[in-house]
Amino acid sequence: MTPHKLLPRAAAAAGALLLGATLSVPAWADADEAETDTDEGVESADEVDSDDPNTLVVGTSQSIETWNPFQQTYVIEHQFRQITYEPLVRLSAEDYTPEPGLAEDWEASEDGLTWTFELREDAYWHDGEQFTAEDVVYTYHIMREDPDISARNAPTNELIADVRAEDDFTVVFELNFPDIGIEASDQVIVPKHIWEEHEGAWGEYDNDDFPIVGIGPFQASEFSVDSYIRYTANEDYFRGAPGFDELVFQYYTEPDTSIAALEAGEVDLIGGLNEQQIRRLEGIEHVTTNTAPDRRWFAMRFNHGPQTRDGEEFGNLREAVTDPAVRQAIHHALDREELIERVRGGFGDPATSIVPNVFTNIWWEPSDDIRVDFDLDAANTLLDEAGYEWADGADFRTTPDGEPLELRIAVDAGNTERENTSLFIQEWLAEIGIDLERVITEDVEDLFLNGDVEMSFTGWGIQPNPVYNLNRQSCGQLPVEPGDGGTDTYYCNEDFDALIAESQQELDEDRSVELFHELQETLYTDNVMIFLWYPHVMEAYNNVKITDVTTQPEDEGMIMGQSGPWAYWSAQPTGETFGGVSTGVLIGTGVVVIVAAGVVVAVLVKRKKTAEDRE
Amino acid sequence: MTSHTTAALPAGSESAGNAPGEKAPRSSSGFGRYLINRISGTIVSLIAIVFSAFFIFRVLPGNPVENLMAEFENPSPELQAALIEEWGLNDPLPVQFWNYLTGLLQGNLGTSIQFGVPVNQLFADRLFPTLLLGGVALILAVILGYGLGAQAAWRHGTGFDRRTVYTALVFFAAPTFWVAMIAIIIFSRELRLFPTGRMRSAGAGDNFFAQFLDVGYHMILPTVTLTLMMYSGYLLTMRAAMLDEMGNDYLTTARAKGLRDNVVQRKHAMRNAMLPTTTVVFMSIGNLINGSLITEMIFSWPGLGYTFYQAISVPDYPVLQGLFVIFAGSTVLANLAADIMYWFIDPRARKA
Repeated sequence: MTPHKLLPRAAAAAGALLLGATLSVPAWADADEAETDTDEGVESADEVDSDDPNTLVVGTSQSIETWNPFQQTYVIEHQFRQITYEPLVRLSAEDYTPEPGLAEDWEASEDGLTWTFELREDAYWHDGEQFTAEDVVYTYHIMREDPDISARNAPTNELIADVRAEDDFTVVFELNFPDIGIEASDQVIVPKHIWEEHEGAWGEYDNDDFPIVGIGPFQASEFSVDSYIRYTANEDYFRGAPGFDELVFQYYTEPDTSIAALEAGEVDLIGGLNEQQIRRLEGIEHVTTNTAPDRRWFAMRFNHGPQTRDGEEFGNLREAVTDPAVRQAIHHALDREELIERVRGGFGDPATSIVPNVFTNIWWEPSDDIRVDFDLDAANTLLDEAGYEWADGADFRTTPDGEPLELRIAVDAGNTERENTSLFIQEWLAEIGIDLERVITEDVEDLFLNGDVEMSFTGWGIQPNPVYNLNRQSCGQLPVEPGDGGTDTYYCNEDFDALIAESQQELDEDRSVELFHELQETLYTDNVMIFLWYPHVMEAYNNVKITDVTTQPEDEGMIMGQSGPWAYWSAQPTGETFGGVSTGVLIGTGVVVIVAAGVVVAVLVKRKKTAEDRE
Repeated sequence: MTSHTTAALPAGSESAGNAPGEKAPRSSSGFGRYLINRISGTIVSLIAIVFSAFFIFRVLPGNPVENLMAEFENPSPELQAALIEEWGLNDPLPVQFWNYLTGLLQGNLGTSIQFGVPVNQLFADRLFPTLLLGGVALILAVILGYGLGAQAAWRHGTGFDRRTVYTALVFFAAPTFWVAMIAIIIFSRELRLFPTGRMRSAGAGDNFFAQFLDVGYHMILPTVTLTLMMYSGYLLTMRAAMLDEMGNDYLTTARAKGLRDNVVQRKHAMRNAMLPTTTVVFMSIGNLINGSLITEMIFSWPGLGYTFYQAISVPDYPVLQGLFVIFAGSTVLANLAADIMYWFIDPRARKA
């Protein structure tokens, strides 16, 4: 601890204690003593905060509750895995394509059922043990044998028949059916020599013996619940030592507080900001803001008619929504640019498909002949031709059956963005003669799946292999009984399902991209949902202290939510800091505190004396 | 919870004692009877708390399974089924209630849905910060409130009285989050004197004094904010109690003895005015652990208040139930303690 930092702390702490009169004079003694201790260097090596140019301080709003990488759920825990451990194959910072992780090279057999991974021989666990094929085999052993953990990895366990070590640095995976998902699996490998001590009880193991033994660029070395997580650099990381010596995740429960902290130089990197916050930070000299496409999409989905897998229909859906002409007309009546501008302050890109535009390799854009542009006239023509008559003077159209053309959209109560979006849509639909009722509710999912509304909003985060979200639009996700099932839309199209299956087995890269494009085109032209926008992530960092951060994708990408350790590993310290207290303020405060303390003591002593004298 | 606190207010407060048309004091009603009375009332309240804790949160909108599945990157139906089973949400409500009751009696509050760790452990990790922040702020608020309140009453009608009361009313009315944000903007962002929150810095060291200094340094802003939010209540209560005492004859007697004004104030008037205010302080002790939710949120203080807030959005039933039982239970028990104390410090309570 440098003297110029300790002084304000000591002075402030002592001042506060004086103020509280909990400990008056002894508090000074304590403070002085502590100051002497640290001056002698007892604690000096340990002190960390943003004043240290070699410590990167990141703001987070989540706490880690379990350090067991097989049992984790939250984003902050995902980040812990990304920087502490390593999977066989990484997703590159450039464009999310697979690149070597713990495996240097890999290939699949002709039938796609046998995958052989050649492992790197220069990777060492944080405790110095060498990484070998046994660690990989043991990791998958845990995933299959532990009752809790295997439930979490059911799809992987169905896929993998066997994992075995051919030699110390070769691992072979035997699959039950061909699936390219194995290549980009994000599964991190854990050290066998640590985990075999918990044989059979892996699910209950908290993995919280600090420092935690991993293999990544940073090692978790210290933790205080809801306060901070501290990582130390792994100088022997096989990709090379990270730029910063320390990485600290500091806990902020309120975004506004973390912004004040960034402005004060107390934290160096924050994310999860909104438009107002990012605009405010844009004007500050030592802060660089970063907005980049997220791995997410946001859409308005249509209800294609609740039915069970046996084809039994249920619910009281209004038929009009199942008419392709009506959906196409609605598609024409939505202005994505306007929505992004008015609802999101411009922070988002117009969306066309279930694959966000960050995944440049498989992302799809409609060609001119099928593109659906904002065009109210075209929408009206479509509805006229399909027999939805609009009588003169009437507010809305009637269906070919003579019913009023009314649709319902469920809107998540309390979600301003969705409520505002629904208001715009209501207005546009009124202009094409559709009466849209907004159902503001806490139970969007139930209303939608029970067929009580025709539309609602939905949004998902997407993996580089989007198979999970494609599957949610497949016939296989229809419920066996009303109320269960994993379908998003009740869409069921066997050609679409066949395409998904093919895409997962196709080992040829070009053909696989083609298949993904076809899938996205089907979703677009069938109007399964109308994809509205790809939201942006909004982040900001202290540019006086940090430089050379690698984003993902490399071109205008994100920093904090990456898949991989790229940002934290690549960030370089400039050697400068921003923050801390100015010397003037320091001296002033010291003087004020001392004078105030003197006055308080004097008054107390005097009052005591006079009281004793007079009684 | 408000209803519990009012119900458990000591029946023998000063107003009951002086009420016109009061029943003749029962001669045989001793301390034992008074105690049984109070304890049975407390038990009824506690039972009501245990029951309502279970049912009150189950009517909250939102489905914990759905909300949590959204956190997983690729949630599978198998995982969902496994988790529902693990959390016991498949069981019929009466079975869930029975499990909750038997668990509670064994001191086991269940496992948190969102974090997957025992609720007992969550509480153990977060109780101390809450008690530390709330406790120090309570002590400061009582000292400040009582001191200023007594002074204001003593100098009733002067400019000092008006200024004190107005200031107190401003803080009484000001929203906590606003005061807290202003404090952060001035002292953290502009002057950079104090951190914006949290309880510890990473790597402050294991040395006791280093920890003590570090926590003390982080505590200043939240403590001052919470104190400002709390002191006005004590100030107004003390001022009112003091004003009640000021017309009394014993003060004239004391003055006639030739005692100086501030001795009369501190040794005579204030001592008597302390009686009615004791209850207020005791009730605050009960409220300590739930009273600082917003302060904890703004200052990222790692306490129970923020845990409660996190749990509501899931909703994480075991955590909510457990916190509710602890919050409400501690208030009721603190009131019981206040009642018992009252028997000893205020003889008038014995007539009730």
